[in-house]
Amino acid sequence: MEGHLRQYFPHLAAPTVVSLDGAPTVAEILQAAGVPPELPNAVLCNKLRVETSFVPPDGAELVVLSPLAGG
Amino acid sequence: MKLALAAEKCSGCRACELVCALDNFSVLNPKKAALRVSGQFPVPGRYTVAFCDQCGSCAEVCPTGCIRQDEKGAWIIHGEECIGCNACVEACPKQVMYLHDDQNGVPIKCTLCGKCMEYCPQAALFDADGTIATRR
Amino acid sequence: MIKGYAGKVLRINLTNRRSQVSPTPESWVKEYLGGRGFIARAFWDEIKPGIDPLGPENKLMMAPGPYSGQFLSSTGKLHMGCLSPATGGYGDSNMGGHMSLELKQAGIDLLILEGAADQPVTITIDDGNVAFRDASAYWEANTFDSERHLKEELGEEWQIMVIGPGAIHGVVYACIQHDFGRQAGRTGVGTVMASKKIKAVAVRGTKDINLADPKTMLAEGEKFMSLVMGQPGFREWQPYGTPEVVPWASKQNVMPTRNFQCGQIEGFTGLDGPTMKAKVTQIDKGCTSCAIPCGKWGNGVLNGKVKPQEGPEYESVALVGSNLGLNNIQEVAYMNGLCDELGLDSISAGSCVAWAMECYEKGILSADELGRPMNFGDGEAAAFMFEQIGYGRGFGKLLGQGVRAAAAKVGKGSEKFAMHIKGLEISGYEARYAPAMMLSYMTCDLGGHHNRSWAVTHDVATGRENMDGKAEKVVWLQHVRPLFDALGCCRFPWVEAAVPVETYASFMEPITGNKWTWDEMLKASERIWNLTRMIWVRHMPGFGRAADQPPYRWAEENHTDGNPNGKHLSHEQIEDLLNRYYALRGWTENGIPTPETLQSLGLEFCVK
Repeated sequence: MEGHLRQYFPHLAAPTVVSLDGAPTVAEILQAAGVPPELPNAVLCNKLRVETSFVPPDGAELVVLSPLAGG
Repeated sequence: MKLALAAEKCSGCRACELVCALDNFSVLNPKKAALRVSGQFPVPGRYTVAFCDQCGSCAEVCPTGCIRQDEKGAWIIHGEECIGCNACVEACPKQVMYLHDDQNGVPIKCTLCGKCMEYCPQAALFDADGTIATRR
Repeated sequence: MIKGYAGKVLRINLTNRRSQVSPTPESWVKEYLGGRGFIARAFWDEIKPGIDPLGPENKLMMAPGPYSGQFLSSTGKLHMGCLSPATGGYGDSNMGGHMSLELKQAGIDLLILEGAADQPVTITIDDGNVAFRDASAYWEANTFDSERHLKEELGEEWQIMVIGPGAIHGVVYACIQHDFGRQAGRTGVGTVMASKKIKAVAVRGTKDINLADPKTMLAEGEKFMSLVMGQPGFREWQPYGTPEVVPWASKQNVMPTRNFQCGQIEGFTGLDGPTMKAKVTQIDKGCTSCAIPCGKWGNGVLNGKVKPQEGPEYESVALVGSNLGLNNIQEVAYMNGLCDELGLDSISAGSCVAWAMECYEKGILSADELGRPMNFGDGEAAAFMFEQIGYGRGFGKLLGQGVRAAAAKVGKGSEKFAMHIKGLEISGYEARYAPAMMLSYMTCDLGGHHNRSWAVTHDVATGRENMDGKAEKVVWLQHVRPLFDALGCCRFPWVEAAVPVETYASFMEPITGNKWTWDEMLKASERIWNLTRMIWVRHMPGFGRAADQPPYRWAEENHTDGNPNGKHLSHEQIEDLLNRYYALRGWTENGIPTPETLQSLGLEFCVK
């Protein structure tokens, strides 16, 4: 997790492995990690931006980006 | 090393000018940089950068022979031999040799240090030979 | 002289056309840093209570900071301040571009403009040498034409700030424009410049800014630029600028729509970053040393009419976009370009026009009174009214006095949807059920502005219904965020590129030679915050808790759509937030800093 959202999810400040059965969506993975799916501004899957309905491949790296924080 | 410009990428931020002067003169002073960013707004609404392409015209007209090429291909002014005649400044076809009151008449000229190419945030200035990698 | 500063205060008196130079007080450097800190401190000494904001006794002050122009990302900020003609209280605003370093190189840490000229003038400051030029010929010209004219007259290398028709016609929220698209927009700094008959200030500086440790600063700058450009989010939003956040803000129901009647506009993707990049943006336009230029230059278009402009950034997308019922980014860019050309703060002007549109749709004002039908979503209507405001014509003359004054005149219940706090129109975030953001707006030292504390994520992440910890967060943000305004740089490397904020303490030593800890910097910011509060107390008889109340719409009306539908903060919750906030700050129940608080911050001179 990147940016100011980190303070609310200190357990995600360092890279974290989330293991789930089946073919979970990004939203389901976020929920499993304790993050409300509507909170991040964007999620990158293997460096490409994806919707929260996207199903990442096994072993994918997700980067969770915070919203821009009001210039 | 060959300094080149993709002008359409330039955002006019002048990081190149700042890092140039900081590296070469150890001061915060873009007026001592060896290149210049300029914008034309509102029409046509774009930036360009004037920079030295090491053509050597300055050396050709220098009466003391104090502008000599180094191993990188940069024409370097050896200031202790410079008489401040400004012949090079007038001869520079791109007008990228700069005078500053602090310099006792010795013009400021690009030394191909490469910092502008390395730190241009838009990679608008880049090394056409590919030896300097952009940090972007 | 401390390194990293220019070393001088330049005072220019317009009445007698004399200028005077004095050394930058070293104690100010240690207590107030620069920028906003210098302005607040000089405000206290220079601007006396009871004066007319548009009279010669008011002073317009400008100050770069120690970080201005440094080879670090995003250091182009210049801060300005004066007694605000929009609110009657402390006013300040800052702008990007390239003026802050130019002023420093001209030898200036603080510029004080006082008195008033009898004829329109342009002030030139050439390495500290002050001269006056007659500006009568282009006094009424728009901002773009004025700046272009001066570039051609003086030379392209000059940095120029100008005012436009709005300021000349007495609009109380007129801005100062620089670099064809950067504005000090808020609180009427442009109006005060016009009241002194200053059309433009042009600056050229060639002097060195000596650094305590230039080698370390070069290395720190290289590290910092690389850090910013290497952030994972860099490529995700940098091409789009701040409109990147439009979908998120809309989904959180915080994007003001139709005069804050709701928090999300239909078709909001028509205003998002990728749409703007596809339809408006031609090039990125950056401030000094910025690796993450949020400025986007391109054309606004309204029914075939084209306006080149910089932007729009998020606040303008909200206030001259969704808040007017517009969801076409090209039209919004046109409105933004129009406001820039006229020299109007797009936030305040947008809010005034949105209020007029609501008055029209509710039957409070007729098409005859307004000059034409004024429906939400009608771009032609919006453009018409911006011009009426900018040129002081028709109903625009009243709207130019701000939404508080306009609603007081029109009445008929229109005060209930006049969206301002302390007389300053509210910027781009719906906050009626977002306690930390609501408290941020209520206690902002300008009035309804977001940039002192932006806490929407905090509200959503910690629960909108939860009041605990909100006041603490707001106090912390009110120290951190305005600190950037004292340092003279932009907060985007932190808030957008997610660079750790404490990094900013480490540059003070190589720049100035003085070591500062992060906590010491926050303490300076707290000092400045209490000082600006005392300026309000001093200038507004009876100032206190009542001035910190939200507008009626936020205090009384529920959200009517989206999440959180059907809710707003109750009176008890609002008062509870204020109680907690005042207690944390060491202020009385009426919101006045106690003598003990002032003394502990070195503000004894504020104690009566």
